[in-house]
Amino acid sequence: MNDLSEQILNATRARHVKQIPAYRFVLARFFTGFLFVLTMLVGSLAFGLVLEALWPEARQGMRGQGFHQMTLGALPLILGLFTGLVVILGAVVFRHFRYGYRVRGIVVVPIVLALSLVLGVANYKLDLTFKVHRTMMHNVMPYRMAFEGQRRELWVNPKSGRLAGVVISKNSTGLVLQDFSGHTWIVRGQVPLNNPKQVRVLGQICGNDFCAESIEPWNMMGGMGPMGPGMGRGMGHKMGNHNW
Amino acid sequence: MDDIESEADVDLAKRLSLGEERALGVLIRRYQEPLARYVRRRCYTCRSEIEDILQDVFLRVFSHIREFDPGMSFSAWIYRIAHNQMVSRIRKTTVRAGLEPFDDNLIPSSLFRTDGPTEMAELTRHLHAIQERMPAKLRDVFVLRFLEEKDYGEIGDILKENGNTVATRIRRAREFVADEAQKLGLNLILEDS
Repeated sequence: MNDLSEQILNATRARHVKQIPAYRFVLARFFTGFLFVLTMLVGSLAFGLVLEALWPEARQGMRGQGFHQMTLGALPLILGLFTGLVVILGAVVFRHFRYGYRVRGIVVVPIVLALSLVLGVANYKLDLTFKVHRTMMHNVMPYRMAFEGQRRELWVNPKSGRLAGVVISKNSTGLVLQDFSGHTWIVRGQVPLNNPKQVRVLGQICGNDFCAESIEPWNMMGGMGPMGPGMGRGMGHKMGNHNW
Repeated sequence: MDDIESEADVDLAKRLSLGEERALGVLIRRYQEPLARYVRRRCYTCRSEIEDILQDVFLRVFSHIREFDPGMSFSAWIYRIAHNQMVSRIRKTTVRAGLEPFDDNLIPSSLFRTDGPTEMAELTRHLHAIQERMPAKLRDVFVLRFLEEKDYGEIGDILKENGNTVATRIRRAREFVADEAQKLGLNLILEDS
């Protein structure tokens, strides 16, 4: 035995150096795998929420609303960026797999991205993102506010047959409404019985007034689609699927 | 001489993971010189600390042997540990030690070809100066490929980089050497067999 080997073996004894049990390395690898799965889940949920916000049914519900107004809303963009960040994070975690470094980044990123997108569509189809979206709308104020601003903007569009705002006064033939942009309207139509303070109206402009086909409370309980309660995806097939 | 001396690295690693300390002795004897040479070639400022570095390397081999996966060569694994220990030592070193003369025997003459009748000692000195100016990432692959003569896959495993990145860095290292040599009035080409 030469000097160094003797020295090292003595050091292991003197310093009580022990061999690290194999299970610790297995756990470390498991943790890396878990992190990767987590990033994929978060990424797919974020992408699923983008789909929730951009679903064509919701656009059709807007009757003539420009596509860009739907797609360039802040939240889908933020969620899209978030999906991108999660994909990058997933690629970084992938590199920490035992032989992850052997795969080129240019290959890893598209794989991770594709995985996130496929899982995102699956989550969307399985309604998982819808449930997350609904929960967040009820419980996460910034998320709700992000939708609320977009929603108000989309609903104050009388030329497209939509109007929403605060009820100033009402009588048997209709109500006086100040829309969310500050204009005052006389709305003709059947007023809801439960005296809502804020309403949304579907109808059309008739002369200087707005003739309502339906008047509903602004925060009516219903499907919480991207267009808010009772509109878009929430008013469509989801209302039938979810008892809420 | 015991049979264990002639056993393959992987078998020795297995013996060590089962607690057979003799296997560590064999591995130390087998890798002590190559690793010391590698550290000398890659890190001039570490030369006075080579023994400490090697001690840390082998202690880590002992403690982490159950992490070793036969999917990669033991040589790459132990070089990776040495590389990481060395990098960590370089980061901790704040005072840059003076350069020591480059040992002639650290550069194989098969490494390069020149047009002129330049003296080997002079070429070595120039190459030393060029290597000193080389960016760290290029120097890593330069030492591993041209001085340690590791293959691309093994270099990738040591540095935890994929094969394409290694190939690119090797190409850049060759270009760097050629450019710098030209500035010195030499036509020096690194041979990559």
